[in-house]
Amino acid sequence: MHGNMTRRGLLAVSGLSLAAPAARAPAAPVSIGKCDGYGDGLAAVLGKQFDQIGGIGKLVGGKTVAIKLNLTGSSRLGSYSPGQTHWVHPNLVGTCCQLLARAGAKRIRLLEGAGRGESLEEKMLNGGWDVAALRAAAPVVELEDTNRVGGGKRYSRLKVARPYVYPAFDLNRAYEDTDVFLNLSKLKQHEECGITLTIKNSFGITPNSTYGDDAGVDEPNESWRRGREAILHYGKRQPPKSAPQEVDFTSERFEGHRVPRICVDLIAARPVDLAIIDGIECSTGGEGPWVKGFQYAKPGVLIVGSNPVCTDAVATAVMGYNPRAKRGETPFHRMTAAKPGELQWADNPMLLAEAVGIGIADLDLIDVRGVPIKDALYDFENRRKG
Amino acid sequence: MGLGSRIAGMALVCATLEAGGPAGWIPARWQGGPLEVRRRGGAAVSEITRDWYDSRTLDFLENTPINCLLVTWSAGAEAALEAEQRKLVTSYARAAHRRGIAVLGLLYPGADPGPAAAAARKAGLDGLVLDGDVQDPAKVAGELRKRCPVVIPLGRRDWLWPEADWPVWGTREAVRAGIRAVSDSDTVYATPTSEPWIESNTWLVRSLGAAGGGRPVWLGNVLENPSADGYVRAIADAAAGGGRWVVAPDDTLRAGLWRGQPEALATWRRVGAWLNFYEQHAEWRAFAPAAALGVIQDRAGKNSAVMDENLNQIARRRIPYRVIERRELTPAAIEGLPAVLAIGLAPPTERERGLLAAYAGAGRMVVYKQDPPGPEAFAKDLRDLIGSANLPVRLYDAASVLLQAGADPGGGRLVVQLVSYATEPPERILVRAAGDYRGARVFSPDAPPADLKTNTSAGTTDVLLGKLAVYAAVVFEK
Repeated sequence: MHGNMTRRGLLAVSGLSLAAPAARAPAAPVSIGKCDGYGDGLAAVLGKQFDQIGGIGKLVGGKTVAIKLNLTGSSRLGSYSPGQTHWVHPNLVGTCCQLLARAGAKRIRLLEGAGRGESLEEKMLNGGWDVAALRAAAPVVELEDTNRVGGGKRYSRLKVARPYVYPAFDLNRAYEDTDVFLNLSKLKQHEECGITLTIKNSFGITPNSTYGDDAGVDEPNESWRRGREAILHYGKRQPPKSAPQEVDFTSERFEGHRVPRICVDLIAARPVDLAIIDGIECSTGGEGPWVKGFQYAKPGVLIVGSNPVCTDAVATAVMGYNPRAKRGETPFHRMTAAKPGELQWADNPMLLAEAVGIGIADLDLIDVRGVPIKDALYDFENRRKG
Repeated sequence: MGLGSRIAGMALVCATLEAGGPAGWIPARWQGGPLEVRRRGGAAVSEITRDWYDSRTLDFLENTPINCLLVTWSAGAEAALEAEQRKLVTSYARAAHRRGIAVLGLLYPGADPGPAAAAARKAGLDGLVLDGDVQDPAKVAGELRKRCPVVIPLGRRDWLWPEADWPVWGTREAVRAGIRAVSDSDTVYATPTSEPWIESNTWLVRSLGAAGGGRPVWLGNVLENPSADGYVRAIADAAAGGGRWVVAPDDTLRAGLWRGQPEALATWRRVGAWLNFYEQHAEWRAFAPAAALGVIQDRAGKNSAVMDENLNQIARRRIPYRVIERRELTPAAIEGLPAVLAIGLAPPTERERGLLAAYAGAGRMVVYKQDPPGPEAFAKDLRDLIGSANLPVRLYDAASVLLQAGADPGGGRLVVQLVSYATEPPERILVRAAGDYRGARVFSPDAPPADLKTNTSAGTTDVLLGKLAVYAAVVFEK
């Protein structure tokens, strides 16, 4: 099907197609499923949702599928496991692997940035995951820590056709060396950006070696120790010279401006083929327990779609928010009090993505299947405010 | 006179001591009598405290291995009160001796050492304990030793130094083992990667044990309003490092025992069971630490204080370590270790420099800095430098748990002792040992031993533990 084209070539073509006007941004069906927990009924619900969006057999049959997980941070809220609050749940990951294998996927790669001094397996084990069970969920399940160059030996450069901040990114090769890219995120809020769904989950595909605060000036730092604030959040410095530099060094440095745009650049560079949002058990009040006011929540929903913007728009509505809300309107602002004089707005990443043709964020144009939004509604804002 | 011969000489003097002398003593604070009531300014349970030296309180020791009582002896009160106290304690000590229990007199600040020691000798006490903030402890100890050879310190850590003649290295400067509460929710996660702040004394026990040349280590801290878990956690925290917490029943527990209250009796039975458990597994204390890092310490050196905090942080990062006394630094002492932390040398001698230079290389590291960095960040860096693959034991999903690992002399058994410091126990912990082990068993004071399923792959052996309320030991067997 791909002829002689390389994956890199395919990604570039896909990026070029995004140059179309915003009005022609694609829409795709999104399925909402209700699910009480991560037990036996999960596979049936998720399988039905895959069917509702048109099935996954054609997409994954005989292919390599890479899954970007959401395993942010390493701390936990009280006695809850991370999978119950701010990480995707391991049983959902395992179920997903089983269903992908059943649909014909030949190789599944689980991708996420591990913390300093640990492998991805160790990060999962520290979160209470049964990694052996996960590996056994499909014939070939591999783990790759994408905060480093890893097994690929060199980084892949993935380009952005209509960039906001970066014209391209240097990423772990696992993001290029795959036929299908699945983004598995958590239904939750975000302290600075308002929401954390598929688009925001793409922030984590950037390697700390290159985009971390202690990245080298000239080259990536494979022994990185720090997070991604100085370069990506605040633009206080540029990535190593070996990596693509910003389009405009004089642009706004405020993170509410930068982070949503960088996330949109990232889903343009590494397009999402399938998005799954885990809202069975999750949290309100922020992206992790380190945010003041973070609380456990149980909306009991799963949201599945093939277009990341449409999927996030539906998920935003399920959270009780307007997916077309503008900068500074709820939920697109800081959740915790800003210091006097500090800005506190954030841009809506779905509208930014829509503007560059990645997908539609208009509920009127999205075919929502399965459970209607009104029946899946879980009011994050009121619960956050308690 | 060398340290060894001093200890041997002291053992000779103490040959007639009850319960085998300091090495075999399992101590408990057992304060009471009118002097104790005065000292406390009249506590709510003063009647029970006053009458504590009724011989029936010795019955509380049945079914426990406690064989050494620290009793109120002198506090520098008026002569009549001190005499009344001594008379009471003399009689109580005789009763205790008949049961094979040693009795040590507690000397509080203000006590006159000469007369107190003379009276202790006359009363047949087995020794004296300096408790609290005594001025010039060396001078006081010297005075006491003229009449009473066994003097045990339970004061500041800086009283302890290798040349001191203390038969036990004891200190009151220990923390309450647990998670430090730093917010109204008892938990603070300041950053995405922060971990709970564990307060533990195990590193201190190991440090003092090494510095004291193998002499017993006692922790003499007193817990405020402890729960049953709080008591056994204090016991476990000290025992995991090879030391002993001086069991200190608080007034509530003592009153409950006195009145035969079921809850108090149950707590006390549990305390006894836990003490028995560690005596039944006393051999583990002699196991060599399974270590990825050798930490050279010199308690008289200029970096002594920062080295204490380094050890604390290294333990919190779960880097299995071996404490090496500077005077015992030889090639054999660091053989087989992937890394050595030499900040304690500050600065190294030519001999030490040469020895470490010969050790470094071929994948082995010596970490030295004239001006040591902040211990918390430094311990993280050390773990990165060593690499998790070089750790002999790793724990997963156990942020509130610390470990101590030791191997038997033959190398066939690896004991991994785990202490949980959280009030909310972890439900599931993966323990990964480097090496291929054919079996593993879990031991706990609260449950009979049980076999564990092992999973061996890529040169490591995994076992999965269930709920860990306070303590468990996993014994891997080749």
